[in-house]
This record gives sequence, C-alpha cells and structure tokens, in this order.
Amino acid sequence: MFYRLILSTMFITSLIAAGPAGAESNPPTPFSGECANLPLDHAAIISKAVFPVSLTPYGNVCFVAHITKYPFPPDNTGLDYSTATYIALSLYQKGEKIYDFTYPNTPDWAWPAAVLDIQSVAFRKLKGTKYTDVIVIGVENSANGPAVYLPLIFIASEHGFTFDQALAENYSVYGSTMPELLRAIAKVGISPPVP
Amino acid sequence: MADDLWQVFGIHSGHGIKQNPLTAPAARVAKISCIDSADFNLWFGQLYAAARGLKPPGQSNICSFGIPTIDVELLQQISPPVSEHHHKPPPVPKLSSLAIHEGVNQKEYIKKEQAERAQQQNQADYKSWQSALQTQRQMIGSIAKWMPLYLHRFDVMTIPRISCFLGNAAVESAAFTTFEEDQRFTHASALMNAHRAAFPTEKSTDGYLGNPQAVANRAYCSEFQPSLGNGPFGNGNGWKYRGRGIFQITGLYNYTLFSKFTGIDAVSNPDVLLQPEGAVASAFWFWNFNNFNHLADLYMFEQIGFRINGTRPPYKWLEREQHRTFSAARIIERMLSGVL
Repeated sequence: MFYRLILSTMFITSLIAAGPAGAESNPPTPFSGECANLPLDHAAIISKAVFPVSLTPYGNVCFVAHITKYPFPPDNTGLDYSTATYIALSLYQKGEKIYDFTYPNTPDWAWPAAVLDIQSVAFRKLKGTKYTDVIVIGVENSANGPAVYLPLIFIASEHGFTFDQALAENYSVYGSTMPELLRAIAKVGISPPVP
Repeated sequence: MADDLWQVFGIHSGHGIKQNPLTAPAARVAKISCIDSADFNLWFGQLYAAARGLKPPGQSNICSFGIPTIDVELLQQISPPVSEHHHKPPPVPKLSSLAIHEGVNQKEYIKKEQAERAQQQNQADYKSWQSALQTQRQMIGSIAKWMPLYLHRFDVMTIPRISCFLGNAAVESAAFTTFEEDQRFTHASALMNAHRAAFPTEKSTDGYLGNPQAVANRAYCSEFQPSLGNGPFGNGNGWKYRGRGIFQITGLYNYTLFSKFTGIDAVSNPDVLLQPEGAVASAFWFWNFNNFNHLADLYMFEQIGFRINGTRPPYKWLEREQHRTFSAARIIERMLSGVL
C-alpha cells in the first residue's frame, strides 16, 4: 500500500541523452491532459520531457521542456548569440504559460545556454517540504569532453516555486543520476526557504 | 591571519565538504553583483592588505584597481615549470645486471655505477627541464599579448575571475606547456582511469597503448560519449576534434558552437585552436558561454573546474586552487605596489 502511494505521487523519468536535443529528435507525439494544447512549435518541444502533472499552487498543469531563443541580455563581448538556443522549462495551463522554471527564475550560471539536453525529471515531495517539488537534471558538455550533469531543485510552496542556488550546488556533488540525487536528498533533507 | 587569508581567497565548497547553505559564500557574495570590478578589486585589496598587516588602500586609490591585466611576467610567476622526471630518484642498478670483473670490489663498483647513472639522470632531467622551460617561455610569450585583450572583452576583470581563469588554465595546459591533449598512454591502468567507459578492462586496452589517435577515436565516439556529437566509431572525428586550446575544448559539438559564435572556423581547421589567439579565444568563449564570470563572483570555483574538466573533484583540484590563490596574491600585490 505504501509503495502504491509513493508510486501514485511520484513520477520519475530517466531520459537517455542521445546528443543535443533538437527538432530531428522529436517525432510528433500526441500529448494528453493539459499538454494537449501547447501553443508551441512541435519541433521546439523536447517531447521526452513533457508531463501533465498536478503542482501546488497551480493545480493541473503541463510541465514542458522546450527550445527557445537565447534569453540572456546582450553583453559587450561582441559575440552574436542571437542564433543560440536555450532549453526552457515551463508550466502551461489551458494553453498559456504560467511559470518559467528557468531564466529569469534560475540564474544564468545554474542553467546556461550550454545545457544541451534533459537527462531526467522528477516530481516528488522531498524530505522536509510540504508539496510536490520539481527536480530536473540537465546535461551539458564540459570543455574536456565528459558530460556534466546539472541538477535544478525547485521547492514548492503555496506561493509558487523557489530555486535555491546553494541547494543545487550542494546537491550537485552527490551524483549524476536522478536516483542518486533523490537518495542523497532523502538522507539529508531540505529546509524549505523562508517565503 | 590564516583565517583572514582564507576568507580573502574564498571557502571552496569542494567535494565532500559540507556547508550550511545559509552561510555558504554564494549567499554572502551574491550581493556584490551591482558594483563594478574596480570597487570589487579595491575591496579585495583592502581585505588582503588587512590580512597581511599592510596599510589598506583607501577609496582615493581606486584608479589603481580598475584594470588588472596579465603579462608575461605574471604568467611566468604563477606557472613554475614542472618536469615529471626531474623529481624522480635515479634508478638503482641491480647486482645481477652488472658485469663483475675479477679483482673489483663489488660494493665499490655498484657505488660508482650508481653515481654515474645518477649523473646521467640528472643531465637528462636538466635537459628535460630546460626543454620544458623553453617551451613554456615560448607559449607564454605567444599568448601573453592576447590575454589582456580577451580579459577586457569578456569582462574577466575582478581578482576572483582572473585568478580562477588562470588556475584552471595552468592545469589544463600543463603549466602553459601545451595546448593539445595528451592521449599517449603507456600503462593500461592509466588509460582505464582516463576513459573508463571506452576501456573498462585491461584487455580492452590492447593495441591502444602508445597510440593516441586510436585512443581518441575510440574514447570520443558516440558509443561512449554521445553528447560530444562526434558520430560513430571509425569516422576519425574523435582524433580530429580532440582537446585543443587552453581549456582543451573537445568534441565536434563544442567545436561547432565555438565556430558559430566566434566566427573562427575550427570545424574545418581544428588546428586553429593550437595557434595562440585560437587557444586563448576558445578558453574565453567557453568561459563566457557557461557564464563562469557569475560563478567566480560567487566563489564557486570547484563548480567551474568541474564544468571545464568534467570530473568531480576536478582533475588536479588542489593544483588549480594553488594556482588560483597564488595568482590572486600576485595580482593584488602588484596592484598594491602600484605596478598596474
């Protein structure tokens, strides 16, 4: 009974990184629930990271990872990033975007344009929190070659989600897969941020 | 005083070191983002001077702290040439391998032989050290003129940013002696450690020892590292897009992005990253594309090393930290003395 309860409140998906995410890796897939009417170009949707889910305080929403334009303000480097892409993580409800987990709600260093794919997504009430939280692991290439896994942990409250930079940094040393990360969080726990 | 210095150079949130998120440096230093690099460097200089027992610079000295730069002298100061063979003890001759002549005392013979071999080894070490020093001087001389240009262009202007860049650059380029990755392995265990996925067993290393091209082609193919975008084993892209530049940019995907945003065509001509400007530009582009300036502002140096090197803790993490703290100290001392 306990395991059935856990399974019913937890969705974990492990997504295999098979090169940079892009249009060619997204065959059209019919989405259900809140994800049925996404106002996004299908080619821009990373279909393996689209989930209809119920999250506090929004209710039934669609979590979607999609490719957008480079969102960061231009700097003085002279490099033209206008053609660069960025993987955004958003919540949609009734065909409208209601929240962005990524920029501007996550700083550029924690989820840069260098992130090329999503490794896994989990919706789970973490130890120490009240509502279903969102955990995402992104993949980017290190300069030397090995893939680097960047965890983002968003803590839910009745006011919305909070990204904690120190939390992400501290837990990023614990592993590169979702089960490893969740095990580490289950051991240590999380102190929800003060609203 | 040691604690004060430690605060100046930052508390690294390294592997296995637990920190209270509320007191982590990230939370404390995040507030400085609104001030410019001269203010920050002055503040850094004041902390350093106080920790060293020197007279702290005042606000009127701020002009001296606005434009730190990197020149040949500084690069040479922070990267002493290190030869691996230089510190090895001379090999001890075995008794069985010696020709024993009639009437010669064996102990004296061994002693003499040891002395001769030690001398030969010292000479070889000295030559190797001289060669490394010469290479290093040439490479430092070649990149030194590009460094200030790219530092200013990419706004790597505060002490933590510059010192972190130099710390990683020194390790990745083997103390500025090479801009090309070394895949020549002589021992199976070393190869297995470097590329565990591609070479899981000792048997799998057969035919690869001493063959860097074959190693790169296997280790960087899509079967073992799909995110590099090199494609299947056998197309030669692993070797073609091996690690080059100061940060050892690796893989077709990284080369493509670098070419796309900088306009330097490294995809059709990968060796452009071995040229001084290409080597420097590739490192600063990677730094910029990953927003490492902001990570350095937060003193998250281990995270930067991790994203450059891809392992945790980063390869030669302590050396990176030593180079970083040493270069921070040298830069601030030069600023305090009014050299810059």
